[in-house]
Amino acid sequence: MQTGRLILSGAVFLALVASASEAQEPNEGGYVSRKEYDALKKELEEVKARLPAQTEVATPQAPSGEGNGSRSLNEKLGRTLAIAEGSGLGDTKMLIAGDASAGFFNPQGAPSTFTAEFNPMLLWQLNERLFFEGGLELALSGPDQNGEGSSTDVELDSAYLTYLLTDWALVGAGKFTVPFTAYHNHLDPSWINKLPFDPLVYADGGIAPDSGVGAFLTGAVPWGRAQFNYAVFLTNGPALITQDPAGAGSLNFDNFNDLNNNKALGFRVGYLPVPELEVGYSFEFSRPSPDGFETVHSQLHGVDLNYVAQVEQIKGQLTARAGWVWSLLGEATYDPTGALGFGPLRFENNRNGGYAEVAYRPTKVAERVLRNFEFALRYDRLDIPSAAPGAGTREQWTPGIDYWITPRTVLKIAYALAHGEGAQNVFALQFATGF
Amino acid sequence: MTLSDWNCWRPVRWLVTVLVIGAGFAGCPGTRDGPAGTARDPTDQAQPRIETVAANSGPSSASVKRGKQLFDTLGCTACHMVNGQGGRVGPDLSDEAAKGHSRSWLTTQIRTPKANDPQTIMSAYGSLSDEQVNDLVDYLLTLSTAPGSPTGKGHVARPPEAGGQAVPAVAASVVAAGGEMWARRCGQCHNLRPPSEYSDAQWTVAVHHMRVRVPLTGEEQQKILTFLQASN
Ligand code: HEC
Ligand code: HEC
Repeated sequence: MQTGRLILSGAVFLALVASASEAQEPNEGGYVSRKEYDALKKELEEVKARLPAQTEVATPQAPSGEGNGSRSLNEKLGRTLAIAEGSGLGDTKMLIAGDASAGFFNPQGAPSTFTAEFNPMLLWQLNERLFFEGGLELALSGPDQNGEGSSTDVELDSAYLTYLLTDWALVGAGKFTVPFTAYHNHLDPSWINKLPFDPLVYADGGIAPDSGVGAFLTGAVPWGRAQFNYAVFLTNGPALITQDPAGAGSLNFDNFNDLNNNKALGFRVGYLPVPELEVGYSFEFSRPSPDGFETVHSQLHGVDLNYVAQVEQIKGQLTARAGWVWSLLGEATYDPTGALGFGPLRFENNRNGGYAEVAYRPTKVAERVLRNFEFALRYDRLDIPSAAPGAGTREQWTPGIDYWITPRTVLKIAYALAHGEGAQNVFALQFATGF
Repeated sequence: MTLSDWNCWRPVRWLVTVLVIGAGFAGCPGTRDGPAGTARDPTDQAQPRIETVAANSGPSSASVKRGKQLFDTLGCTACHMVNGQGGRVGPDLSDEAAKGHSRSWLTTQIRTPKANDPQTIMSAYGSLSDEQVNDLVDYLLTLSTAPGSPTGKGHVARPPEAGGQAVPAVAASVVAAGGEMWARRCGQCHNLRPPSEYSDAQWTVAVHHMRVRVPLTGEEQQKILTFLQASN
């Protein structure tokens, strides 16, 4: 399965890069760039302007020579222009972006590990309205102390096309980051996240969707001096885990191959009273219902807040961020016959969790070196119902210090102080860059 | 899972449906040339390419006036506050003389800000003529918040007078408005990325990407792009 996905995503990315680079190299691919097209057009116009005078003089003297020459030149230019216009790719623009990071994580009482991640992204503006984003996620986990468990994970992180409809609306389709609360869509790339960890609720085993396959409609609408934005999405919904004793009752959001015809339908509405502050509410409904669990409906609610301001009084930049998610799946019996060896297990499957974080960067102090430091503190938490596998409350306090080498390159150091079920304190060091 | 049971048709069906709907929208009268803003080629915008201003020696009131004009036109106000107006990305410039900044230091700061601070995100204005940089420095050195000074407390920054200017007024306001939007809007999730980081074409793509991800309105996309392309 891993290999199938790997090959497929690799092939998709290569095909895209190949077709894209073909379009970018006008001389080799047979296409003509806008600049060349403009230059040719100008040239043709100049030739045209000169043409009547020339033919008038030339025709009487050499009716079959000169006249034919300028006519064939004219024809040639005309043909070139037709090719240029027909290609329709004169405005193609592309950019390689993404992020990369290297980390060292040392959980208390467990082997420490180095990690590396590389997430390249192809951004392609096909014309003023059509835009493509295609991204890969390449993660490398080094072996543990026993020399085991090393792996490379490749995932197709995103591949979607968008089309601008009006000033306030655009549609998109493909595989994209689901805009359910702000975190995954806005804040989790390693050069943006101020700590080396994701909050529990958004990490592996969390309760919020990450990316999905489907379609969306989004846009921003001015409202006096304030602004609203919205996103409506329809994706292959999550899958309910029922067979795995360790995960029964939780949702698998990496479900790109839908089980049934019931999609996940959701939206997010954001409100910016001033550009410095955004608050959002998100909702997603789906029926992640395999056989025997037809009555299970999933309702996810989420709220988020993001505030960033330059505050003169504290000589710096203050950031406050928060997000909370409620996952309501109702009551169900897992392994009702006991055939799987962990049931019957019946519980009210409601979970919730979130995070709140503040950060301060002394951007306005005189000391130049100090301006590059940022101090962050995060609280995060995840509640799992008491009868469910992995039940209990996990809580973390994570202080961290960042050193910004450039606006998009950062060295982070942090220590997560964990409480609750299976909690482990973790020391982490991460180097991250966006490109 | 093998490739053959990869159910690829469902997403494709969605894609086609959405594209058909999208194309339908685009065909509607009023949307194609409507307020989408982005439909216009940004290069159509009057670019604030500065004509050479007449040579000038010493801080005359004419050079100070030209300096103020340039200050507004080039988008310095996006990042700098003068007399309570402007952005907060860089320091308030109302008191440069009082801070003891010399003419040559200021000239370096404008031409090659990285020489004063290797990590600055301030754009380098290396293509300005010597006269233009002189005008800017003249203007900055006349500013003071000390009571009684001509630009001191109570002084209200007036918009540049029209007529007889080297710079088209429309470009000035577009760049300044775009710069303010950029400074307030583009640092909300990540650090502001310096305008000098990308070429015009690269910014076109990056800002379009942000329009999709943030999302931005078409107007924001247009104005911010104009500022970035004028300041890179
Ligand atoms: C992209 C934002 C940005 C723009 C646009 C910008 N600056 Fe700056 N400027 C800064 C920052 C940030 C600093 C702080 C210096 C540092 O980074 O070390 C600065 C510093 C300065 C300083 C030194 C101030 C002090 O007291 O230390 C001067 C003078 C200055 N800028 C002038 C200008 C002028 C004139 C323009 C327009 C031609 C301009 N700036 C445009 C961001 C900007
Ligand atoms: C709501 C959050 C948010 C805001 C506001 C925002 N960005 Fe971004 N920006 C992102 C995220 C998230 C990424 C990384 C995308 C990825 O790697 O998937 C990014 C990436 C970028 C990049 C790297 C290239 C790219 O396109 O990925 C540039 C440049 C950039 N942003 C510039 C801007 C500018 C200019 C603005 C103001 C118009 C802006 N950003 C506003 C979230 C934001």
